[in-house]
Amino acid sequence: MSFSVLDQQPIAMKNRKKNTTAMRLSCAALALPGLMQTASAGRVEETYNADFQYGHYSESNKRMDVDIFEGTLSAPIGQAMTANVNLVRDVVSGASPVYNYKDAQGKIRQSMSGASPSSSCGESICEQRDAISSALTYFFDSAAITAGGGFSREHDYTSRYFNTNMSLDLNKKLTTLNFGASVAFDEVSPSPSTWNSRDQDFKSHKTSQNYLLGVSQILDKDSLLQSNITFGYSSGFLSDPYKWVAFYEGNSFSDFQQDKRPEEKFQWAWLTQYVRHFGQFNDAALHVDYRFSTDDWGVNAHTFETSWHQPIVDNWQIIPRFRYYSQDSADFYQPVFSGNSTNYDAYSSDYRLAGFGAFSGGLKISKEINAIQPFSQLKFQTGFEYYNHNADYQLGGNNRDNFDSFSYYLVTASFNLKF
Amino acid sequence: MNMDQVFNFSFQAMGSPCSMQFYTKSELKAESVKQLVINRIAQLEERYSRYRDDSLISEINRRAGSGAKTPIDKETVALLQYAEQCYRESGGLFDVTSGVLRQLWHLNQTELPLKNQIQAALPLIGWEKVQWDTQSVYLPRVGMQLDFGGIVKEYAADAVAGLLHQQGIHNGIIELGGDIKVVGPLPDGQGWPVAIRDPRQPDNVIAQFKLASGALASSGDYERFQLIDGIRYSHLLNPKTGYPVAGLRAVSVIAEHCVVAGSLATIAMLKANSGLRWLQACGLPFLCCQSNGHIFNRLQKVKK
Repeated sequence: MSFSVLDQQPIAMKNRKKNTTAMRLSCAALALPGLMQTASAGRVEETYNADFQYGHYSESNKRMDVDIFEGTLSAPIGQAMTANVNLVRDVVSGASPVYNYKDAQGKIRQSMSGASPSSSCGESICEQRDAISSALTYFFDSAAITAGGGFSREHDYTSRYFNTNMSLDLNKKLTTLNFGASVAFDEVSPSPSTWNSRDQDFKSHKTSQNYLLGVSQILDKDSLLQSNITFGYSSGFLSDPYKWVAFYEGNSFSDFQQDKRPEEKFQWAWLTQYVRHFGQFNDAALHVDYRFSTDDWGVNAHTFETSWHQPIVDNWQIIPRFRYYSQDSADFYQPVFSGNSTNYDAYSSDYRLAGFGAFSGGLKISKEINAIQPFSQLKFQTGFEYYNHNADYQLGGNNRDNFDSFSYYLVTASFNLKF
Repeated sequence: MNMDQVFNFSFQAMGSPCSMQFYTKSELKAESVKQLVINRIAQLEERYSRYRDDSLISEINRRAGSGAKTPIDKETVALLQYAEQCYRESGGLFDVTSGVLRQLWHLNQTELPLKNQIQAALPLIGWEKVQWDTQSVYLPRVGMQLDFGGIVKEYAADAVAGLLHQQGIHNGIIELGGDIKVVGPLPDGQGWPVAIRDPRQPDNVIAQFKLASGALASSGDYERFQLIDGIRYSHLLNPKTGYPVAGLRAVSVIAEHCVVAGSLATIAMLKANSGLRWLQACGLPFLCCQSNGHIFNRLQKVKK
């Protein structure tokens, strides 16, 4: 299983610091000939940058708990290059839904993997994922090229990936085009357990490719619009090796099979983000994002997200955030199936492929300290997020019972050093 | 043992008193560096001074509305790009085409310009009207003017610092008419002592600190202003209204580059009463003297 709770911050937010008036003017000034060479090229970070983040993710109903540890170091190499290395460790414990069944009244219920006194953490799932990734970026006058790769390892899942990205500034740097491509080679070797009936040496592979085409346009001095399209193709073993599907004839149990999904998936996604600064509100910024994705498994998803970045005093900043997500179900998803597995090419009862909606909201608070020797900047951030997943929240409603609702909260704390 | 000696030069350039101090090995080297600096500043003045008929700027201004574009080089393109950035960051207040107004508000005058004179000048102002690309620039209306006055002196300080650095000088400071750029700290690593004067009483120092790197630039109504009927009119003009701005007396900003410090200070002055808040949002060390004489000192971010 792979985990990515600490989802990526929107690009414009990461660059917020660089987009201040002073930075933009300095960038423009660096085009003037003869300026002192001690200042490096415009976009390269002149400093070493270290980030450490801890997160605790906790699902309701005694499901999954994850502790996330993350560290990133980036360093300039000469005038035109930046290298960075990122390390992540996720420590996962708890239980997860395995299959759905009908109770004596014919009502659908969810069965969890349950506790396991014999395991190392006393739960049915005790896992650790370690990942390392690294990238090198080279800056030209009006372009940048990044090449990177990474490796992630769990006891039953290994992933190796490579990615490359190119950005091109046009139109006096008001327009930036982005092109990206990535490929991942994953190996799945599910460990023998109550919920995996496959052979000890069962091993399968999954290959994914992703392509991105994006444009970011500065509309005026206060607003930015960016939009990108991604295309993804995955092939190989795309099932979840620990999930099961129950089949019924009427209300009586007829078959029980491991999750079986198609061996290919095409996905398209379109993301649009609008950022607007409000000088009159102490340089606050509004971010509004909309993302639509569709795939040939029949899942169409909409994400709407908005956040307000409010600087207060003394370099304190507060960021409230709200997100709504809705998807419809995959063609081969049913809470439980009727008949026999031989009647179906693919079947899954995984709650992540069901139709559902989710609301989440959170708050982040950060403080920047600028004059602590030997660091040029120190920044602390802490955040809280609450997420609620419910079949009823799906856009246009859903007639499915709410047997698989859950919620989670995520607490994060991070600090960033520039030196 | 460090054999470098300190050299001190004062000279007149860009209509202002200038000085520089730096450490180098010999007097011969110091003299040759001084000559290079004076030549470099003179070269910028020859190209960008609006007081010289043979400057590139005068050429561009003469061709306004004639249909003839003026070819430009990389440095001028970079200045135009920089001017555009200033225009954008200031919401149109920092406009290098607003020099037309100076004819109406020139120094030594004793009466306010007439309203209709100002109304007539406004259509000749507007950065967005300037047609330019990486090869040429053209002002589409007769009477339009470009004026890099608010940029070139500060840029000259940066360019001179770059030149000194290139000449192997690592400990030095340059001042061009009150704008300061540090080439490198004193040989013992300490910053150069720098002072900011009271805009109303130039003998009074209101802030004193050490600057080991970067630049300090100021904008204010103390250097050039007119007294008309007892009212002090700033030389900084709002390109949208055609009238001098009032609100702040003086602003000093510290930044890596003098040109950036200078334009931030000017934009803050042009923003008048919202200038102080805007400066705070910029996040750089600054000192601001409000019209009631209150001094807002946010220089504590200065690296010692």
